[in-house]
Amino acid sequence: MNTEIENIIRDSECRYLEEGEQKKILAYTASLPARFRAAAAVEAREEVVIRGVGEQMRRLYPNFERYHAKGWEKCHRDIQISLRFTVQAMVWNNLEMQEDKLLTWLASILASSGFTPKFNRETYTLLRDGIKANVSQEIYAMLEPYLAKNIDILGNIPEPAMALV
Amino acid sequence: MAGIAQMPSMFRGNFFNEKDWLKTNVKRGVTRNRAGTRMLSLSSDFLIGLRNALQFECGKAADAVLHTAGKKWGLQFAIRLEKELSDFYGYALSSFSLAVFEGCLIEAFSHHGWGRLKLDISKQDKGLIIFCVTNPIYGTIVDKAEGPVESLLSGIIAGIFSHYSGQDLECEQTQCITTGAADARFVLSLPSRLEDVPTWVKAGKNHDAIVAALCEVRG
Repeated sequence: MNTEIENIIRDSECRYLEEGEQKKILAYTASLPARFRAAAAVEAREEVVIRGVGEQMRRLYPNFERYHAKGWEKCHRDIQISLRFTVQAMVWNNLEMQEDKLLTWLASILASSGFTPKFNRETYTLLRDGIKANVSQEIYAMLEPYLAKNIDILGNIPEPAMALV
Repeated sequence: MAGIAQMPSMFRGNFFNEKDWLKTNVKRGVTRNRAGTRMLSLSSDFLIGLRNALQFECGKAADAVLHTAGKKWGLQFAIRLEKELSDFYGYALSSFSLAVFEGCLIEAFSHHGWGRLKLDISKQDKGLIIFCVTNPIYGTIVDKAEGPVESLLSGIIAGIFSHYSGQDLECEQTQCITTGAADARFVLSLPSRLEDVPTWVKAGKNHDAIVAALCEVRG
């Protein structure tokens, strides 16, 4: 849910909505068609983008699958779900959503799997750049803060005792 | 990409994500988690009251009572968690990778308010698992203590891992935040290997020294 609207609902208990609050809600609902178009644009290019990330990461980390059975397939899955949560967060205009629904948990899992923060930063920077190259400037601008969230959270896991990438 | 369609779709995101984790039916006065299990909030005054009452009633045995209660609780919790996660992800918990299991357990601890958990399995080959918990249950609410205060949590950890390992394990606290440490630490192993740990803790041996001593002892 949109955090700003949730806050308005909570703050407006026992009174009527002020004009400024109504405007904020209307501004958000008016933005929904553009957000849905952005989501559709990403959906249409999802496979191309993620495959491109995978190809570049395979070149950077040729030994990765020695450590992780079906490692690249699992990475594809991780990137795919991260991207879908990214888009969902953009639709709901909620910068906290990805962290709560996915990223904190995924960060623990990747850290336990011996991934390095550098590996994750590279993966999700490539994802960000891949999206940028495959959607319009306007759509990219809507997604950018949410794409940055993936890099920020997953790229700051602790260094593993033994890197397995 | 070949093979993706055949992989189990276990990635539905975080089972414990806050917005979906708990729902309260105010009219009925019932809170349930997303799997439908009834949940209850226990405030710090309840926890303090419980500890004080046990100390009053049981004296020096209070910690043992809390630990035993925690172990029974941990066992039941582990059974329930296994079912809830397996149902949610459509994949048996026993088939989860260690990393995913660990990720889920860390989130389970956090979302139950038991503190932020970190596992150290680097001594697993010596039969030891080490746990670090920041903001543990009692350490942040007890004013003064003569010794470690996380007997409930050590019992919970022992119960959880006894279930998942299929053998009786014990857990002893080796470091407590009431002494000024940044986190509470625990060691998990076979009961016979941890018999001396409470004595070592009382004698002032620190966590690292205890772990080193345990690594020398072969069970």
